[in-house]
Amino acid sequence: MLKTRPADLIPLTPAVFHILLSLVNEERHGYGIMLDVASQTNDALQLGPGTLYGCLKRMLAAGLVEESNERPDLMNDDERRRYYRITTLGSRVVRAEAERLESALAAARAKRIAHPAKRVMPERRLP
Amino acid sequence: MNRIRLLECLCRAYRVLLAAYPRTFRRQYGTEMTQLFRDCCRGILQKSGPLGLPPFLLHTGVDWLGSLVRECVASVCAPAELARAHNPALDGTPGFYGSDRYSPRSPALIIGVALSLIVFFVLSEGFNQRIAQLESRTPDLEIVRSRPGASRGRLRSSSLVVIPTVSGQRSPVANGKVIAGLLSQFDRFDIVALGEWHGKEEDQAFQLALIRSPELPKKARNIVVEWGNSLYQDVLDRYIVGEDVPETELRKVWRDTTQSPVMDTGDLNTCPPLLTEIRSLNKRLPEALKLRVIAGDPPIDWTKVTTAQSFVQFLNRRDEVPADVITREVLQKHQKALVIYGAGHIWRGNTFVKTPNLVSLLDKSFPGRTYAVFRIGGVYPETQRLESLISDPDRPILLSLKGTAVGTLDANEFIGRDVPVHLFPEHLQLRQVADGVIYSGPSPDKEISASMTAKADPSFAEELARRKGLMPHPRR
Repeated sequence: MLKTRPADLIPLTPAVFHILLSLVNEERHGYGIMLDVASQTNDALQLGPGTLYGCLKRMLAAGLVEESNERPDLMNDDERRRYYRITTLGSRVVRAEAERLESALAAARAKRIAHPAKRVMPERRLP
Repeated sequence: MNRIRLLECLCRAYRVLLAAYPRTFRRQYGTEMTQLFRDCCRGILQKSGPLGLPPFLLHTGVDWLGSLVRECVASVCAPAELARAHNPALDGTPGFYGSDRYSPRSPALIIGVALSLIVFFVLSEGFNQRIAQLESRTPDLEIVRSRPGASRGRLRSSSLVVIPTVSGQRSPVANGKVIAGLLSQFDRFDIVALGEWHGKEEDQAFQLALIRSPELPKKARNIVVEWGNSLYQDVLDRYIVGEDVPETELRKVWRDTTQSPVMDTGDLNTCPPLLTEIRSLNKRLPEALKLRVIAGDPPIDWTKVTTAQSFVQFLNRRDEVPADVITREVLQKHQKALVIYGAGHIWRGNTFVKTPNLVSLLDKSFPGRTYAVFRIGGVYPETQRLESLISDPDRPILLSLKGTAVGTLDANEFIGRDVPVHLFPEHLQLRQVADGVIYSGPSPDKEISASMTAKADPSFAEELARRKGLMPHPRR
């Protein structure tokens, strides 16, 4: 089987990109991913169950994420929940996509289309 | 309903929706998706209460539809795509996403084609209905030509005889109004009895336009006709639903009626165009809305009728039989019917014929369930007065006779102008004769120029001559 290169997998759709971002630092279950994506995008991208699990299915098949047997969220655990974590390939892909977006943004700034980034983080919303 | 119960109801409904997904996807993620849906609902209920649910449910519905299409498409083509490990972004948000690569990926293309087809079918359905509405407003008939190569001896919808084009009055909008007005009577009545003048272009054109109306099947599925021998109802039923019926068998429906000797029944009068139209419509209609044509003429078997006496037995039942048929096939089944009969069978108070006519019989058995309407057109002694009472310039126009000035006009001044007798008692008013009248204006009616193919059939011409010899009295 050929080794997959990150370049083969980008550009990512916004949904896949934000799902990967939400898994960069911690493992999450579906609801946790959904809330984190909404938080990352200031509610601009709200994943429904069908879209979320459709993405996860394809990301699992592509080796971007994998299921985790651990239960990090002990306070809100449920046997029906499955936790997902990002793989090494997933990390490389999300990094490559972020770089691609960054270069696209730089090009836009050079054309004075986009303003320089303000260092204001969106307010995180608790579940 | 408390919140826990509401939550359970919503989750149950969502589980039902999940059943539409491909089985592998549903088995793999169905439980989690339900859990996710439950978590979302619970979060919203805690945060915003029940009022926060509708936007979320709408969003979830859209998500369900979009992801359903994607998963169904992916279930067909995913294995090959995934083998290339090339498509982590197959989710498509929206469905056409993937154009970052300057050319859509094949799954996105497939999704696009699937969505386009759905949109096309939805729009074309609406378009068809619109066309049908427009057609229903146009009284002109189409010319349906014989299909080259159509097998002889069998009648199919597109291989039937030529339908004459009617060049009579053209008032599409008004005709649409008349049709809508007539169909609205089904909201209050079970039977709309439409009286015709036999052999007039205006009546035939109107009947065809009425049948083409997409609203008719929603209002009434049965069409009871005078020109069909009820002995051959099974033949009619088979033809109408689209079966291939031998031509010789089908023609018996209108050739072998009790009226065949008195009307020189041909093959190109009202019957075949109407049947062809309904058969064609039925092909496009869903099962629940398919139209049925019910023959109302007494079940005469001409092979067994050899004396005037036996013929009269059938002739005398020309109102009784359709009343029985309508009772049995329509009213007792809690259905509705459009009845197309000669106006003489429709008029109330018609004293010229001694026995009660069709509408009188229906009124007696089922009071208040029949709306009687017939058409008048041409110049009458009272035409000027009639015109002065109508403010709407459109012709034809449906006029109500109950509680209106038009209804108080003398029936004898409008009906029976072509016969040397008064059909009604003196001073009987129009409102006592019918519930409505379709006034087509002062232009004279046109006869249908029918080529009587029946006469070109020597054996049938001979049979017609025999039947004429059995006639007991002049035509009614």
